[in-house]
Amino acid sequence: MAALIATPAVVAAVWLGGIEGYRLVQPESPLFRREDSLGSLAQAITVCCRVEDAYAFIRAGRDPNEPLTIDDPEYTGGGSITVSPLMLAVAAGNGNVVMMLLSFGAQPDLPQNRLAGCLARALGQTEMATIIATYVREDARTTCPERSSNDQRPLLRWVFDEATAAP
Amino acid sequence: MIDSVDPDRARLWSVVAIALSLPLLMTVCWMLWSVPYPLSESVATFEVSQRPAASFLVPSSSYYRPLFFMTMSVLWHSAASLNGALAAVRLVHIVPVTMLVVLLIWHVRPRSPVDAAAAIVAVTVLVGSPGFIDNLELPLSYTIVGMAAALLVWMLSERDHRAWHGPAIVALTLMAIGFKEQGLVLVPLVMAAWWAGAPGVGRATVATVAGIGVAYVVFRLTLHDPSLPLFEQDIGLGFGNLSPSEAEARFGSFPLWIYAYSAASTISNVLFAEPTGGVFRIVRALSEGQPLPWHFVHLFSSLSLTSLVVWWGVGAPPPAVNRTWSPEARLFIVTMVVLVACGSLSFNYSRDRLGGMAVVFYALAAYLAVRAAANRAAHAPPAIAAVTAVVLLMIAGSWQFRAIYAIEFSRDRAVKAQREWMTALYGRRIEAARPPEYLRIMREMTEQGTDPAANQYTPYPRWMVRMLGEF
Repeated sequence: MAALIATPAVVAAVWLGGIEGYRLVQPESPLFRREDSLGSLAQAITVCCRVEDAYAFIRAGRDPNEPLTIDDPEYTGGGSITVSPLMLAVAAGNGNVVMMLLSFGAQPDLPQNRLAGCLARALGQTEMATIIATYVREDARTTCPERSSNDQRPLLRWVFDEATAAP
Repeated sequence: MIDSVDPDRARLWSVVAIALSLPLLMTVCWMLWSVPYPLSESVATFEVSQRPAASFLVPSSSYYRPLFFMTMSVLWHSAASLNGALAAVRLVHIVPVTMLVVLLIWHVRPRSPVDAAAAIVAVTVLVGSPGFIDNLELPLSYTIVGMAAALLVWMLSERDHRAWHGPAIVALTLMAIGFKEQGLVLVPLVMAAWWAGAPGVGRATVATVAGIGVAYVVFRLTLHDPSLPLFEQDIGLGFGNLSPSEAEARFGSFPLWIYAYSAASTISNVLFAEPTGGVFRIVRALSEGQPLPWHFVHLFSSLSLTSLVVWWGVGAPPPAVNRTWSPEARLFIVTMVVLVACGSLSFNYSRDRLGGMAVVFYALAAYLAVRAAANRAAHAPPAIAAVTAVVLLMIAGSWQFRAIYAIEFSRDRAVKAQREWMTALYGRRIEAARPPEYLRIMREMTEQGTDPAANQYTPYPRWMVRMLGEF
């Protein structure tokens, strides 16, 4: 009777002892990681929805304002474009990554980020647009320009255009 | 002591019980040591702790936890570094957790294989109960400290009286109340233990503890701010929640019914795993035809164990002529008293953590109930013995699942805490009225909040995750 009642505890003790002991000895084991490491910040923003993956690049020293190159057809239509991580996160609808970038140095005032709020509004992400607008200095606010392109991919419509953006 | 024991046999089977509980205990402690502090609760707590220690003695809100904040203040100011302070605060959580498990086994003193098995089940009931799990959140150690104090008071009550028992019980009661209002549970606990003939409690101790309880209530009522809202937090009701303003609009004219509902919800959560925070999530899922495996695990484990405890308690020997109850009957009475006390103190809103003090006694009752059932089955006809064995195995297994859920839920909470550090910093920075000290502490704690090594999930198969619980 005692052995029967204690069986779940014995099994759990062996399991916990083994797995937690292994975790202490090999914390970097693939056993404890959800997915393989992603190759780029762009992938982390668009392929996977976990903010931790994108943050890993920022933590490693990646400048959150430095533009990156993306060639995902879903966003670029076949070619490759260069956008800021903030713009890409907005286009991906990844609110957590947007917040993370803003928390760790992304500056909405910079030229490469200035249309992030416009893009968010165009995508119907009003809450994200409001948050981004909150972080922009009064004297740096941009009026969203009219886009002449009818491209179905919002990111292509709103990638920063020096010629058309109004101050 | 629950029973008189042969010291050598008690030691052997106590060691076995502790050894089998050690991986669970060490995993919980390691997790408390390594997970990040949450942004929401910890930065504000540490900012408040910057105040002079004596300032916490005067109530400044509806919550009154002077000893908790004084402890945080002392640890914060005496540490040589931020990491030192954070480590010390973790210990305020880890030490009571360790005490709860070790003292529980020490108190019951298993002296046979059945006793040891029952003790291990009691540990899983303690760790797997919502009232324990919800009190694992750093740095909010107030109730976990009170739980350890409650167990110590009970242990002292059940031992032959010594002159120092009284002062110790009074000191533990004051400490528990000073950490959180739930510590008031120790007042009826001591009174009920004395009334039922507990050998370690004297009349003077009861009078002192009762006086402390009365003085505390008068003190709080005297300094109560009538402008405070009627309901402090969201209220769970039925299948949904009401905001404080909604609850006040609906029940403000006569809140006793909702108070009673919240109180009953806390008690029911300890005994039946439903509702949670006043919301019947499992019942709702079942009624909508969307049951999950963990619903059945939680319901079965709680319903079956509570039934077993009632069977055991009702069958406990009646009081002797001199009103002295048996140790088992005394525990049953005190368990009910503590449950009612926990419920009463959670009248304003129900949360799992508010049942924490009762969980200690529920676990002790589980030990005696499982042991009684196993011993009874040993002398029963084979068919009954076999059925009893299977039921006890299922109870033990389901509570083991819940104990593992305690670990994984806490890991999941840590993941969410880390995400908050990653995403909420800028919002906190630009919010109006954030004092410089708050921002400084937040800045300094960012590294520990975002360290990727602090969080790692456990590779359970999907079917097991669905049996563990809600994440």
